[in-house]
Amino acid sequence: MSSDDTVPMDAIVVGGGPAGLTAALVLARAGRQVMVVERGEYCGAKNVGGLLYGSVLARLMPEYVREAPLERPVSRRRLTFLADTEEIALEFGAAAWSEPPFNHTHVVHRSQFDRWYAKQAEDAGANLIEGMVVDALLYEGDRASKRAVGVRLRGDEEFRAPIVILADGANCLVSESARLALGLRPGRVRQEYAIGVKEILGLPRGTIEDRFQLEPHQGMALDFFGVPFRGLIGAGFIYTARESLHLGFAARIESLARSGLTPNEVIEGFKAHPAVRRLIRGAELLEYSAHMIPEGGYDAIGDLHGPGVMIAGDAAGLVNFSLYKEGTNLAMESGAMAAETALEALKAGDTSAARLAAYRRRLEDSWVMSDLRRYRHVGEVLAGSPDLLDLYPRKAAKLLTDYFAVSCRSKSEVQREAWRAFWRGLPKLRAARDLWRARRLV
Amino acid sequence: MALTIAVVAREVWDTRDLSGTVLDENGRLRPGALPTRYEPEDLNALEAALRLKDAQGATVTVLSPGEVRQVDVAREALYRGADGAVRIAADPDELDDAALGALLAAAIRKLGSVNLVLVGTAVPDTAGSLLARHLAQALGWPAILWVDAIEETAADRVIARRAIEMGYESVEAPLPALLAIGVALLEDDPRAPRPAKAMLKLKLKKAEVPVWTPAELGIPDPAARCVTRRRRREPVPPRVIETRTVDPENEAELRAMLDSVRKGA
Amino acid sequence: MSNDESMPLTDKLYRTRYEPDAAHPHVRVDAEAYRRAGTKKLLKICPAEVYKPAPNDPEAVQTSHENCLECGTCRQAAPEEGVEWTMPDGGKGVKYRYG
Repeated sequence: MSSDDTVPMDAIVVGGGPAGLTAALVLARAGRQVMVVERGEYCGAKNVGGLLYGSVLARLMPEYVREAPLERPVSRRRLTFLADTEEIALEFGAAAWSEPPFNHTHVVHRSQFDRWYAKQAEDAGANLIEGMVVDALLYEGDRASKRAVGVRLRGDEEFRAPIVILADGANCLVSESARLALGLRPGRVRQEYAIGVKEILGLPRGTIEDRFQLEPHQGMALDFFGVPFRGLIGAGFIYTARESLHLGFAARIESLARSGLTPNEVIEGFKAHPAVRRLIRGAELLEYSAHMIPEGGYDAIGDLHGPGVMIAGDAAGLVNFSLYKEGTNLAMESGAMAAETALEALKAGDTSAARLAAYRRRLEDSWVMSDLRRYRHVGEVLAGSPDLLDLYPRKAAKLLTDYFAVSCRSKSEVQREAWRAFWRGLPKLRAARDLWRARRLV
Repeated sequence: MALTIAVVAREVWDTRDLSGTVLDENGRLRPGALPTRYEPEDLNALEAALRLKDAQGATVTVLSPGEVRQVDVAREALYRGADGAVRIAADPDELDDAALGALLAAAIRKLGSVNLVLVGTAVPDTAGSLLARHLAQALGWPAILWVDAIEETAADRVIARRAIEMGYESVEAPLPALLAIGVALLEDDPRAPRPAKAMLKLKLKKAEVPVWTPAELGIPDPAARCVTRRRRREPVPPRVIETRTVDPENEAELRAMLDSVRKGA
Repeated sequence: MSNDESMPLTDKLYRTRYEPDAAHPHVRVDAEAYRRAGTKKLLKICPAEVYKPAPNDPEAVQTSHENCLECGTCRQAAPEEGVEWTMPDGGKGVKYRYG
């Protein structure tokens, strides 16, 4: 193919997920030629998620709530602590969460949502190349003058652009190689990953609505902590989709490896708990999936820009790993900010690292890094206080069930005994310290 | 005479790994239950055409019956190097191969100057592998079926190679002719179809693909050309396999298992 | 099949769609590194049981890349066990319908 046959690109985005597609959307809307390379047969083919946080999406596409393939809004949330057979739950919700904009929290099937989002980026003018793998970036110059100048597609051609936005997700081989090649610094601490394992369980729509007490247009997100997760740094979840449930857990890989449990044993143990079993009775497994989540938080985030390069989304480690567990909206915001930075840099004709440092500044000045900074100690707290997710909830659940035990003894005796059982085996000083630390989780 | 090749490209149901029920109780396809794909044998046919084009120059036009369901096969063919593509407005799921053959034959005549037609053999979603025969008959052209490879083309003839029980045979036909490509190629087969090219995707994403209606092709009611009719579809009830685990150390359990197997329980 | 009883993992994986690429394994384990590490974390940590002890040699590992869900957990959990991981070819590998 002759050289005048090429299509000149202003930017190349590696990865067609929320971060990459947002970057492409913003660039395309500004009239720039942008190409998105996605290794899946379609965008979303490799992606696993459950909740879509759409506050950034709402800014970019106010109509998304009506147009995107969203399964159900999260009208109510429930946090459940599971003991051996006991449970304590806290449930909350608001009428407003069942009405537009639904608190910008929806249960989605990512494979379907991402495909829709890709279509939006494409309609805005982005060039989507699906089913192609980027093995490495192209570079020019060496040492100090080395910069990224494009990508090489496996079994195909090289494509050049002054800016490459890396949004290749949690398992980010391209970003890793670019970090190495360009000498980008890693974070202050090692990036930690959790493994998320999930089952899509099919149930009739009516059964889901009856079982979770939902109106047809409502949905629910349930988080589970405690015994089934056997001391792992992790938790389980059930989200209601239209005609299926997302059921799964996420646990720190290193804690899972230490436990000697297999992911399947954990998910089966979770499903076997009486409080969970009754919610999924009769459901048919439709899909089994696994994905990683970067959980290192703020301190694990390294350099996110280099000469000709910016890194966004999960590849950048932008996940708020706290009770909020937000990732999609951070990914979209970082994609948008990378694109805005790219637009300025292209206009100035300067895509050097110094120019692209504006991307980091944008992130730091925004809610993205503000949230991540606020929850920077979550990982430490959970790793340093393993009882938080295990012993204490067990104790609390036991206390409540003992407290409400009906018997022919006097209430004062029952209560005294309940408290005695509660304090037995509870390391009080450590518990006080752990609970004080736990304030950082919320 | 340069080759002018027409290749059939069908979008067919992808039935490789079904999950859940595909047909509802009334025998209707549940929307979204089945993905689709580029008919793999048609893809092999396209590859054969593109190789002729690479080797000796040829014009390759793809004819794709039906609206795009999930995979835009006409465009996929362009991304691999086809020179042109035409969509034929029809519902392949509602037509049999005789009617589809009539429509395609009319389209090939409308293209004009076509002297070689390539079509894949396997047809999982319609009456069964008859399209090539009906199409050749409608064109009034000679056909070679189950073609493995095209050995030679000249101004007035084509020689194709195919596997037979004893080995291989080469078959010659005068042009214009139709070849039905009948090999399920392995990934590593040197004849395996090429993947789409990123550059062609970039350039042809928005290329117009003309749509020819049956009326334009002189067959206003293609259903009337059907020689067979589908009366109904019914789902096969899913087979439930109960597995039991028997303790190999427990003789009574083993005996009970053998008994139940013998009784066919 | 109902979920009242737990389902073997092989049956679960059967519900997930793949575009198989049997001829090109994208996962490989360096036999020497695996033996040297001796930790055998790969056998347990993989959610798709890609790694199994080799039938003839319990100190070696056998990989079934066609089960891989491409999560990358093995790379993070046990780099010292010699996991060599590349992306499968474009469009190949796991293909989620729900995700």
